[in-house]
Amino acid sequence: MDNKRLTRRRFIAIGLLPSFGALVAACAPRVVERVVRETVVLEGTAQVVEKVVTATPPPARPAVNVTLTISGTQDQAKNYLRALEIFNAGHPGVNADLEHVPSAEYGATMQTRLAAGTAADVFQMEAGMWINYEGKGVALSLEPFIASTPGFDKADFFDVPREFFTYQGELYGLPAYGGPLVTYYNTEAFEEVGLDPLPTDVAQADDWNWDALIAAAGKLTKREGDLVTRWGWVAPHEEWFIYIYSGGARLLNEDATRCLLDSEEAIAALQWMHDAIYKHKVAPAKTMVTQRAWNLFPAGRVGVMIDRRWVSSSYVRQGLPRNWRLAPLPKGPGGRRSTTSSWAFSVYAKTKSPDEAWILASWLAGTEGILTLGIEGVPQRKSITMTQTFLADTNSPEENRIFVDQMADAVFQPAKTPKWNQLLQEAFNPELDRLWADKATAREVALAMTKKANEILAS
Amino acid sequence: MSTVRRLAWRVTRWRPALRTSGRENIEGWLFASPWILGFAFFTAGPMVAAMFLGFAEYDLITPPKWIGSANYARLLRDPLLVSSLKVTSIYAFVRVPLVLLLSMVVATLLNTKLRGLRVYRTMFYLPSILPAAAVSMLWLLVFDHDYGFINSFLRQLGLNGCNWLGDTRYALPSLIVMSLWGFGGSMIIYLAGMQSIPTEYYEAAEVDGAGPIQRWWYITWPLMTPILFYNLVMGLIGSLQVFTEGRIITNGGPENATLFFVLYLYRNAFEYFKLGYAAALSWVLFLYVLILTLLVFRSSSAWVYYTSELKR
Repeated sequence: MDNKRLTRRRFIAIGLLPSFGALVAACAPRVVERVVRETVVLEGTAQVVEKVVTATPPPARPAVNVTLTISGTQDQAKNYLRALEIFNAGHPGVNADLEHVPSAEYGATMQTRLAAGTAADVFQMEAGMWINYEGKGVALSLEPFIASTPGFDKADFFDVPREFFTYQGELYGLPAYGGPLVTYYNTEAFEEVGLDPLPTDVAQADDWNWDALIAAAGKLTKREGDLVTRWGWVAPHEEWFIYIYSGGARLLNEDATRCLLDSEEAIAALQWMHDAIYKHKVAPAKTMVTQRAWNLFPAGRVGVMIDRRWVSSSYVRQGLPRNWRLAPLPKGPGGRRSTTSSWAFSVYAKTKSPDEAWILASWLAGTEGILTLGIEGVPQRKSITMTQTFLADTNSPEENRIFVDQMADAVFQPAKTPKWNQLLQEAFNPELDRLWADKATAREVALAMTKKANEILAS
Repeated sequence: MSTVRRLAWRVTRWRPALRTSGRENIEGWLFASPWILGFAFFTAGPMVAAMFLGFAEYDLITPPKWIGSANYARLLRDPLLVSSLKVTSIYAFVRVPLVLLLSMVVATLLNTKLRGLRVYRTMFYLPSILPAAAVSMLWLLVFDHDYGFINSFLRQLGLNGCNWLGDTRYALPSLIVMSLWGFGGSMIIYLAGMQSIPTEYYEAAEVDGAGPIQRWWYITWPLMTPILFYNLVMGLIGSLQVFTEGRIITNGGPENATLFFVLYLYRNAFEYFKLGYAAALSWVLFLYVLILTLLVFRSSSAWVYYTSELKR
């Protein structure tokens, strides 16, 4: 009878037995299954495939903490938090944290953090930052990591952003998002004035040119007395660079040491923009629009605008009626040349965990990272832009293909000079204000811009 | 016994000579020490650093490079320095008197026994605590040429509106008008001052037959001059550091018509990465503000009345 008594010692032993069993089980090697998304090319078409990967993780060791700093809205921060949860689940050796900085404060914040030597392990390198940081040792060269990562293909990035983030032949940032400008047009307004829909195939869009834009904008402009209730085209001043390039001119020379805006092509392009406002009266002067085009467009106050892909994502997210479509840029005398910009994921030069930081950066800029974060602009990997996931996102596949096709001739903006912002604020904008206000001719403005820009570049 | 007093007592315990005024002296210094340390580390330190950076080429990332007086020499031939200082001065010299006048008038009106007075006070004060960026966006819609509130109202009256923010003639005045929206801060200080005036003064004046205007002019106005002086100094310093409206609404344009000095300084520091030149600019602004403030202080003996001085 005594043997069957539940003594205190036996009670503790029975209680500890399951715990010991659980401990043994936890220490045993586990086979982990997880689903990863990859881009593969099947019969000439890129597709995102989900693969179940089984792996026996290495013996448990404490995860290495890495921090990611991003700029953007609260919604974008939420996307990143979700993405990092997925990343952390799939990478037991790394624990990534997020630090979100509002877009308006990002440049100054990163500047001071980098100066103080306290930047995050991985951070968004915006193009405007890179023009000043290139060659100053704030980011690690990614070449050693790329070399040691099987299957990593640098050529998968679009050439223009890849070259921008390349310094002395080495890549310092993995381009993530960016993209060129396209034409947005209001389909209801087009129908109302009897205009045919615009083409979506860049190769077939020769008729959609500068003359056609002015003609269409003329029909679309609607007036009630002195008040214009709908502008045909809005704001050539917002993206004036593209008309310089499409006009066959260039802003700066190859090594960004000399301004070329005094060329006849540049003067003609400026004159064409000025004429749209004051001769044809189909676009508002800058002085008449204090709101951005993308605010006016969905309200039906603008027939045609030129903008980037994130605008269509934003409209869809807001649930705005789909009374608009996309078309290539209007072709100018020098072709159809958009500007494009991009930002990249860079690894901080003083990170204590470069390998883990690289794992995070390459994951974020890879297929799984981009698709988890959600497609807003144009992913800077060619393979992702060929997938149905991208092509069916937000716009029709034909419309999404316009962004990809226009990347071929796109010019990266900003130009690669640390004096870019000064050129804009001191040489270009004040002089262009005179053009938009009809206070000076295109030639006077072009010559004044060139003179000031060359003084700044020479200083 | 407070910690500071205890500390002062311990210090003076061993030195009897210090036990009276000396102990109070030490207590005073100890009480003031948080501010003194804060000033030394967060104000004086950066000022001294800025003075040295003014002699350097510095982009925050690479170490400063000594370039002698090149930055200060550049100040002398920088046309944007002159134009931004001019724009800022016009803004300050027009805005400050308008804010002082408006806040004084509204404070006088609110210093009466009205129904719902607290609601009015809150309404007038509220704009001054709203974020400048949000207020700027609001005024952007008010001033819009085609669809803005002001021009829509003018159209109803059969008048043509102006390009408020896009025309070099109207952009700066528009920003000044916009800034008046935040007069509530000065107003609340006036109001507090008015309510501290003993009612006996007014009662005595009333017995002597003084009307409302005379009571205001002979009692309220002189007793409010120290507060006016305070608001003038603070308003002047604040206005000379104006930044947000110029950056968010007009970005310095059109044609640099709203390029305020601090916006120009900010551009040099954080957009052009010329921290050295920005540091030199900051000293120019400091000296300018200092000179104007000293002038105001010098003039104060002629128009500011302190009751303690009158008693003497």
